[in-house]
Amino acid sequence: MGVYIQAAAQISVQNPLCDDWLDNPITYDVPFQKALDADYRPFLDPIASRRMGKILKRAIATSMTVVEATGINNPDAIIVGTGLGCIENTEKFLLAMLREGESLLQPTYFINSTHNTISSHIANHLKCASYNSTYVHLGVSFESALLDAFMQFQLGRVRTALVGAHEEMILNYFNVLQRVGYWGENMATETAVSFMLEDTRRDHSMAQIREVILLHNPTPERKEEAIADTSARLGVSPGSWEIPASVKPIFGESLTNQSYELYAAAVRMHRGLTGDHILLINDYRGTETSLIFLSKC
Amino acid sequence: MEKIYVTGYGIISSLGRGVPATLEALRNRRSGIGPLRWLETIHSHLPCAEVPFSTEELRELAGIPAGNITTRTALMGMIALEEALEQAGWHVNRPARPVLISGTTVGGMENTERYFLDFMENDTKNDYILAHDCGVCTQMIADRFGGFDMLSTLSTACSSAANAMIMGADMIRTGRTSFAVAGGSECLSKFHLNGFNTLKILDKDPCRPFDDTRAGLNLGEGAAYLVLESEASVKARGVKPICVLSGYGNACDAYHQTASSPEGDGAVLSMNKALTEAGLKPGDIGYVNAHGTGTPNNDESEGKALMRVFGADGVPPVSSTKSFTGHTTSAAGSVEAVISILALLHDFLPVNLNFLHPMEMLSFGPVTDERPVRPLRHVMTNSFGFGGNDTTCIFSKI
Repeated sequence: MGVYIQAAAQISVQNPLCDDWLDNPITYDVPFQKALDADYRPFLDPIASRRMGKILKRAIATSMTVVEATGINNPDAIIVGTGLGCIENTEKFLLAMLREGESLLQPTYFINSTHNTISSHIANHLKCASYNSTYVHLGVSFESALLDAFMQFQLGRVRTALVGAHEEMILNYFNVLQRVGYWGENMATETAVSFMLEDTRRDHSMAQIREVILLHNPTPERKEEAIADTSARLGVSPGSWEIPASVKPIFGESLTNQSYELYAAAVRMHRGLTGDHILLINDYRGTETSLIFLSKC
Repeated sequence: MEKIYVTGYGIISSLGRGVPATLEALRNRRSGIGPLRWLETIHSHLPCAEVPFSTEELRELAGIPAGNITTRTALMGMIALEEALEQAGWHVNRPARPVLISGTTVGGMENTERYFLDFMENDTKNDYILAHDCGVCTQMIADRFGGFDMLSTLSTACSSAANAMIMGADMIRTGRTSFAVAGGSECLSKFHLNGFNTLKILDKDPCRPFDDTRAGLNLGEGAAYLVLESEASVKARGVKPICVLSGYGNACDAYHQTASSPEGDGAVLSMNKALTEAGLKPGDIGYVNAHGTGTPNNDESEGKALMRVFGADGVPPVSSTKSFTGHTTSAAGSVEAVISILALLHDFLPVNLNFLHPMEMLSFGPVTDERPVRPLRHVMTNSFGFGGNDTTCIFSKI
C-alpha cells in the first residue's frame, strides 16, 4: 500500500494557487496578515460566492484546484483539519448575542459557525457522499485529518482522499490570543491547503506519505523511539530523514500551519530539491507532537 | 477484520451519573427533560435535559480543585471517562499505550460566551482564553488520568462522538494502539441554545420523536465514553469484554448544511456501510437507536431511510431515546451507544416516550413496549450531524 500526494494547492499570504513563494516569496513586517484572495470566479458562481465566508471560498478553491489537477472529482474521503473552524461566523453570532441580546438573532451565522461547515461545503460542492470528517485538535488538527486519511488507505476503504487544512483568523481573536502571549516570533496568518491523495503512483505524484504519528506529552525518548521504530519498519536508516527548515517565515503561523510544511516539502521533493526522505516534526506547545514521514516517488 | 471489543463504558447525562442510574431511568420511563436549572438564558420556557449537577458539584465529583481552570464539558467528560476506565480495569492492569479520541463542538464556549467581552477589553479572564479550544477540552480530560500516548478531537457536529468511536476502532485496526477510549462530551451553552432556537427547531414541550405532531427537539447535555480494545489486549490484560463494536459506517448526505435529504440518502449509505462491515444482513438487527431528534425533517428523512435499508415490512424495533436525554449534540453518538449497549446486555427495548400519533408516511411506529420479540444479538445506533455528517455503529453480543 502506498499513499501518494497527487496534487497540492495553497492560498496564503503568498501568491495564491501557485508556487511563486518558492523563488519570489512576498515578505511582510506585520504581526498579523490575512490570506491574500485568489480569483474565486472560476470555482464559484457569483451568488454562491456572496453567501460564503472567505474560509469557505478558500476551501472550495484549493479543493477544486487539486480535483481538477487530478481528475478525481468524487474522492472516497473528504477530511478537514481546522483548529478554530469558522471563527468569523462564530464571533458574529456571539457578539450579536452578547451586545443585542437573545431575542433578535438570525440563523445564518450560526448555521455556518460549526467546524464541520468546511468539509460539508466541499462535499456539497462536489456532490460527494463519501466518508467525511473534521478534526479540531489544536496545533495537530491537520495531522489528525491526515492520519485518519492514511488509516482509511491502510484499511483498504479508500483509493482516493481529499485532505485539507483550513483556518481563518480575525482581528479580535488575534488580539485576544496576543494578550496571553500565544503568538511566537512568526506572523499570525490564515491557512488554506488541500491535498489529493491516491493509492497509486503516477507520473505527476509529488511525494509518498509513509507514516503519520501523533503523540501526547511525549518524552524525548518516546519521540526517538517512534522515529526509530518507523524507520526500521520502512527500511530507512534513521539518519536518512532530512528535517527541512520551517516555512513559517514564508507562510506564517496558524493552528494548522503544519499543512504548509507538508505542502512545501512535497513541492520541493517533486522538483528534486530535497533528499529521498523527509521527516516533518511539529511540537505544538510541548503537549502535542506530530511526525510525518515522506519519501520520494 | 480484527474484532473490536468494548471493555468499559461510562456515562453522565440528564438521567444521572453512571450506567446504573441510566439503566434505571430507561426501564422506569423517567425522562431527564425538564425546566432549565443552570443555564442562564431568556429562553427558560424551553425544556432542556441538563445534567442534574451544578458545575461546582461536577468539580467535586471529578476531583478538580476550585482554583483550577476547567469547563463543564471537560468535567462531565472526566466523570464519564473515570467510570469507563474503572470498568475496563485501568487501575488494575494498565494498558500499554492508550489513546483518547473525543468529540465536541461547543468546547469551552460556556466560558467564552460569559467572558468574551472581557477577553477583548481587559486581562481579568485571560485564563479562560486558551480553554476555548475543543482540543484543550480533550487535553483536560486526558490529563486528569495521565498516561495517554495520543489524543485527538473530532467535530462533526451532532455525530462527533460516533466518529470518535470510528477513529478509535481504526487506530486499533491499524495497529497503532490496542486500547482506545472514544466518545464525546458537550455541555449546554447559551450559544448553541440560541443557535438552534433561530433555526426554529426547538420544541417548547417535551420532544415527541417519530410522532405525527412532533415539533422539534429539546437540547440536552452529557458525556459518554467507551473503552475499545483489541483481542490481544483483552487477553493480555485479562479483562472481560462487554460486547463487540462489529461495524460502523460514515457517509455524507451532501445535501444541505442544516437539513437532511428528503429520502435520507446519507443515512441509507451510513447504515449500509455499517451492515457490510459487520458482515450482517438487515434482518440481523434487533433494535435501532435512531438519531430521532424529533424535528419534522429528521424523523421523516431517517424514517424513510430505515424503510429503504430494512424494507417497509422489515424495520426492526426503533426508538429515539432523545425523549429521555434530550439531544446531547456532540455527545449523542456515545450517549446513545451506551444506551444501545444496555439494551443489548439486558435484552430490553428502550421505549420512545411521548409517542401517540403514527406518521402517515412511515410503515412503522417507534417502540412503546420494552419487551423484545426475540433476544437481541445486534443493535444499531444512528448519529447525524449538521452538514450531513451521517454515522452508524453496530454493537453485537460476544
